Amino acid sequence: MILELKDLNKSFDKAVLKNINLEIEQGEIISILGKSGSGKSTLLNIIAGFQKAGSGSLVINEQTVFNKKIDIEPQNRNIGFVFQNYALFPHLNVKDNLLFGVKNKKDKSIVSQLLELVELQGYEKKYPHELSGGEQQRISIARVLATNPDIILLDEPFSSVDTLLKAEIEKELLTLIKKSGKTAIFVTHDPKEAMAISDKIAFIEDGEIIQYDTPQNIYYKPKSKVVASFFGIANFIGEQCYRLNEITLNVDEGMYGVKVNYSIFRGEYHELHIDVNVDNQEYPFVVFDYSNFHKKEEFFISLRKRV
Amino acid sequence: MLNRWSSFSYLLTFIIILPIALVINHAFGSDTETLTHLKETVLVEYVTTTFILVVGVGLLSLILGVFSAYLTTFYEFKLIGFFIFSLALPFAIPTYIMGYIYSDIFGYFNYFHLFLRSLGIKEYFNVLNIYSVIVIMSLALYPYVYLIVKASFEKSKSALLNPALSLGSSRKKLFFKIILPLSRPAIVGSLALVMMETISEYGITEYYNIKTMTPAIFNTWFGLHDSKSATYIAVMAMIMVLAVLGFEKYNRGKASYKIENSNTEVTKQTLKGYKLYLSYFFLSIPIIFGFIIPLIWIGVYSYEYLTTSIDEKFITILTNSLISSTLSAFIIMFFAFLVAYTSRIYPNLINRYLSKILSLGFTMPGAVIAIGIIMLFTDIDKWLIEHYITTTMFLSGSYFTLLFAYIVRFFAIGVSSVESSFERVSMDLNKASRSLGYNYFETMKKVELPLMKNSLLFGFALVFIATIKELPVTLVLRPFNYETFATKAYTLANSQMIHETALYSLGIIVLSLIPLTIIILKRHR
Repeated sequence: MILELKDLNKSFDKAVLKNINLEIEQGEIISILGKSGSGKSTLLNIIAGFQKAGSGSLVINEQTVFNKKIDIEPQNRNIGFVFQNYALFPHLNVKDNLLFGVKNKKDKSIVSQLLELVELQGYEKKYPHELSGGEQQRISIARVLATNPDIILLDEPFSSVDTLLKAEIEKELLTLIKKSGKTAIFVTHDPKEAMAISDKIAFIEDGEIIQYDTPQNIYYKPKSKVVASFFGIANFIGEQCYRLNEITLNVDEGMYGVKVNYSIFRGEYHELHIDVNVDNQEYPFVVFDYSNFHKKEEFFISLRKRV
Repeated sequence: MLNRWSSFSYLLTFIIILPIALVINHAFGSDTETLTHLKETVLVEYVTTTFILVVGVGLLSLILGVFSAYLTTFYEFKLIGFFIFSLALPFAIPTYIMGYIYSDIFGYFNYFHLFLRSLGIKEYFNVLNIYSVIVIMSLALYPYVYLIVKASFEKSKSALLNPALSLGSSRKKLFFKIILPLSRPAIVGSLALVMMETISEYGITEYYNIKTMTPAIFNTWFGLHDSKSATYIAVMAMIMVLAVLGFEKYNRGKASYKIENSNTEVTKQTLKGYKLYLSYFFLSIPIIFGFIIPLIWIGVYSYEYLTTSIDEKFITILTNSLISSTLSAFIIMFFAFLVAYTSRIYPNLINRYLSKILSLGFTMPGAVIAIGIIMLFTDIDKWLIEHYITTTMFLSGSYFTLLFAYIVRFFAIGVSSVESSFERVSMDLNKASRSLGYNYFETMKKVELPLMKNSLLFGFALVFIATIKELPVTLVLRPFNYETFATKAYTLANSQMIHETALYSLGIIVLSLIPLTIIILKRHR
């Protein structure tokens, strides 16, 4: 176990984190996902040591860094932190930024190794303002890797990236972290981003971890309607959640008969708002129609759970 | 548990605030005979005169400062660079020096009246009155408003000008409805500085025989030897300043004046025709009367007394002025940095207010601080003698006393410039450094200090200028036979040797102009 959080609590005017319990294995990539103000950044700052928890304990690589009696400073926790705005030191060039946290500064070979890893060879003399957003991010990751941390913490690393570049940078970053074999914890409010990069997702709501699971499980087997709807369109029959790709629309026959309430044209498909009749009880569903179901008043659907 | 950073800051705050607390404590209690007498006779006059002076100087500085800042920020015209630079120059001339110069120029046997008599006008215009003092003080103090408000205008220019103009506002409407209200904190802040300086002013009010509170404090303490009454008047002066600040804070309520940064290019309107000439006329007035005329006067008489005045004594005075200003600016910037850094890394409620508490010294007239420090150091000296630690008055009248007074008085200037430059250095850089293995102290050395080098230099320059011009505190607390340019000019002026003050005034101006030029050029860039 590389990180263990036990019964962690934090309050400002009101409780921000409530009984957080989390266990992370070496090499795992984890996302802490939640809305703004849910407490996810506070949790990351507490792990880093920038903020102090009210109670509970925190163990990094078998060393207790926080409990009732211990509170180890961030500089002694052996963590790496990647900031939203990258926080490269503007007065230092790339080489000096990379060497900033390195104890043995005489060993310059590490600079070329890291630049090769992030594919920015020849950038040693450049200053942060001369780099693009993506390049700055890669340097900030390289700077963190230079200190060989036990865990890398990333606070919304894609929030200031252009949407068009996001997928590419996500892939680059993920490859980099996987290559390094490090444990990483991302904080994000974007469920698609969380699913794309994580081995596990901790969904946090009002300071509580509601579900901690693999992206597949959290998507197809959400523990609550809040979790389900955060990840996209979710239809429920009782407690069972059905995603769009678990629903098949049929003209003549199917498991359940449906009645179309209204449809919205969305370009490549129509968004249909329907009532599904299950044992004489009606459940509201939203489905996507890529053919002509929106022209009908009634049709059938079949449901099949994927996970 | 208290950390080292906070403990140090609390200790510093306690030491700096002690003399002010002593004055306040001393002022209350039973009335002395002198105080009763003062209350029955001249106290009302002191308060009323101070009030008139503060309002007059405030209004005139406001007009000169705000309009100069407006014209040089929102319009384009020939020689704008010259005006931007020159409008700040009167800041280098202390108020009392300007006072001496104009009293001489308008003297019965001097330039102005000789000129009038050559025209056959025999009338005598006596300038030794409150109206002249209002004009002179405004000429010397409006740069506070100009510099601070201009910085605020520059910020609001790109963020607001284009949106407002695109909504069809006329330039006049834009100025009165948007620019002025949004620059209110800058206007009021700079005006508060002008008002505090006005209340605190000693040299000119004494020379022109204007009965304001600061000369009254001096006369009561040193003339009537009544410390209680002196401190009572001092506290009243302090209350006056705090009332101004409190009124603004109350009046501002919850309104927000935060302007988001914008890099949008703004096309300035080019001034032409009569508007251009009117602007030239308006902008030239403070430069001519606030800088050029005084400088010519100083130049002429400095030349006249050059050979007789530049001697070993002059060099000693130059060294004294330089050393005390450099030393106090250095100490203030060092402590200000530590205090501001503490509230940055431990931003709890107390730490956030530390800099405000430490800035109290600037809201007090110099005389109040001087009195507080005399009281404090006399008590410490007495205690040391009583306990056989020393045999003489060890602290009172020492150079350390003077340095300490400068720190109490001008800490606000240092801390406000450090705080504003901290605002521009993201806290994430501090966190990044710590997550990379450095503690707060190392982070401060490796990250914040190098990034804030220029801003710290700017703060240093501001404190340096304030100290070199300082008169009342230096006058009271200087060691025996210790002279600075300011005290020497004052002594000579009071001995009716006005022309001999020129060289010492030139010393102040040259020493102030060097850092002032750096400030203006850096800001403009």
